[in-house]
Amino acid sequence: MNNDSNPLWHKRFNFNTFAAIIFIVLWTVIFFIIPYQIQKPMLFMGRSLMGLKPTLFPRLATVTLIGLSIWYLAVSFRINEKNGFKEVAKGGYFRIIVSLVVFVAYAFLFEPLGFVVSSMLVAGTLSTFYGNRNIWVAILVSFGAPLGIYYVFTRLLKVSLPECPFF
Amino acid sequence: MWDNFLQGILLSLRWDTFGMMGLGLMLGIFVGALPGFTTIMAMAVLLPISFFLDPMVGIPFLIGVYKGGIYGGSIPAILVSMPGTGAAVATTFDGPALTKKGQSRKAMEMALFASVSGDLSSDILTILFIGPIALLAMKIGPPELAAIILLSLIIISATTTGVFVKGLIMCFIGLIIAMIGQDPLGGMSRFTFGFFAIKSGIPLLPMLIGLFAIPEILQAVEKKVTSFVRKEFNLKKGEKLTFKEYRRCFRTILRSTAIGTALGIIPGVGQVVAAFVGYAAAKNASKHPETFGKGELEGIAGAEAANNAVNGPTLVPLLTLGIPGDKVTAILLGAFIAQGLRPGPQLFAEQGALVFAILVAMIFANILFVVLGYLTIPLFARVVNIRKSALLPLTAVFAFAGSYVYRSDPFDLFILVFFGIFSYVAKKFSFDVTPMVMGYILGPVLEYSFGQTVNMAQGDTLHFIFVARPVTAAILAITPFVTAMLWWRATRLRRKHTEAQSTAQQPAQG
Repeated sequence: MNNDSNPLWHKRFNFNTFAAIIFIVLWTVIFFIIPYQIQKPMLFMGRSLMGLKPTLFPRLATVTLIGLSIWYLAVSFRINEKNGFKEVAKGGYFRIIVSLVVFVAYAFLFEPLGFVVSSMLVAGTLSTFYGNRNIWVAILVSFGAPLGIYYVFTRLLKVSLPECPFF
Repeated sequence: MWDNFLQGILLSLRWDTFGMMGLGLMLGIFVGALPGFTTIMAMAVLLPISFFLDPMVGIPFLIGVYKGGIYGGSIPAILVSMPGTGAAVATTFDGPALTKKGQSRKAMEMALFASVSGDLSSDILTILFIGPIALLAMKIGPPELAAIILLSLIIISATTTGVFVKGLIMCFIGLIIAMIGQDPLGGMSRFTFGFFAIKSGIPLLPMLIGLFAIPEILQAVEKKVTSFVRKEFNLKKGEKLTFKEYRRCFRTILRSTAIGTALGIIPGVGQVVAAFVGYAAAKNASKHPETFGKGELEGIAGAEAANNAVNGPTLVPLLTLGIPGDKVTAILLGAFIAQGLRPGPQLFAEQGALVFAILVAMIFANILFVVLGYLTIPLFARVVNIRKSALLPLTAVFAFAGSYVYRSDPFDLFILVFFGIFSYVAKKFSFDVTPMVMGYILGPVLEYSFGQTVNMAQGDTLHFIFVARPVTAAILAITPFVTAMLWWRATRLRRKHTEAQSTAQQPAQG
């Protein structure tokens, strides 16, 4: 009999259940790739010079994670958490994706264009995209802020930021 | 210890230290006053600035940001019932009611004076007690340190928001991420997949900025709203707090200071818990508890004194053992490491004067705090109206610049973006990143201490730990009980929360 206090098992599947399954698979894979991804210590007369093998902690951690993920899977059917992505406002996904695309482009262009030029482009684009239509705010954010931050880091703190190759 | 304390006072008397502390306070109040932006984000973004300053300038700067941020969160909490930081939630119980009565200025002044009172008292207590605690910490060796770190990681995982097992999983994910690069004992390469850029591991600063700054920008743009708050406030002519009103709340402030100080020393507990406990204690002790929630100044005093009283003691586990108890101290630990200093028993032994200088600087910060905070109340009340379209791009540019200057390596920008996305997704699925940060920071120390323990044991580790190191044995013995207790408590709280939600969702009967 199915009622609100005893839902069918398949209705109890939620994002936590899927996350737990993914974790179990992921940590199991990592456990098996440990010997291939960890450099072997040097041997002297057939014995390791190190008291603790470099594989020990990774093995302990991944085995513990597998155990925790199995525990997580068992608990997941009783967890009543909301999936935060379902609460994102209409149009929110679009704004987030555009922001992330701009951030990735910023990371690629940071050195080739230099800090000031790339930051002006990013700040201007994001400010306009986030709704700014005031010319003075646009000038302040697009030009003033990158130049100000450049001054703070390079002149006051004496650290280098990538220069523009065109000037 | 006494010599170090006196030297510390002399070291802290610098104009540039005071100047940067004042700047940090103003920046902290500014960010704290913005609903949706946290003090942690401000500290993460401003952390790179501290790298290139003298330790006696850079670290007090970050502490100023921290102190200012905790108080700044009370501004929107009082004006528009939107806490600027988690620690200001309890302030929303009485703050908005006072604003409705036209007493917003009075409420903000009480928040300021209660914050400074709590903070100053707890800083003095910290200085008095940190010396003996440090002397005790100097006696612990690698086995004890490894056991303490293990217990601390479990406690931190349990006290974060959400399900206990999810906190533990995040903690161990942090341990795995810390293993990328070179192992701390022999320098063997691990999990680099032949990728040169991560041969020395995942860099701390871009990861921290990505975890704490980028998700806030993404969460702020989820909704298409131009400002965090639309209403405008003019506090220049508001009714001010009188000395008589402050004196009436003095006992509450003292009680909340004691609560905040006691809770602050425990890893993982933090300002939010202290604020709620301080408020509840004030209400229970009051002769007229029915006024709480309707615009009672004691309610604000109780919450704000408690949450700021955490600031000083929360540094004790960090400075004496090198164990950060929360995100704030994790960022401060990053600042210490960047300066070439490793907090812990060795730091007290080798640079005790510097440690005391930083603690004494915190006391001077409170004096600056009360002066600057009082003068700028009307200014920061207007901060809540700032446009997102101006602030968010500025934050992003600062975050990228700060991440780049750490190693002048463009790969760090991709680390920033990757961990930003990771943290955003984790938050949406109710995973707290704090245990992950702790696991990342403490993982190498744990592994190194464990390795030293194995070397000291000379082949018989179990006998060595349980016979020769009784303190280690005791800590390890209580660890399963503490874990079980924390799991039981978390399960009980979750069940209560689920029942409350089910009750709220049931349709009305009759």
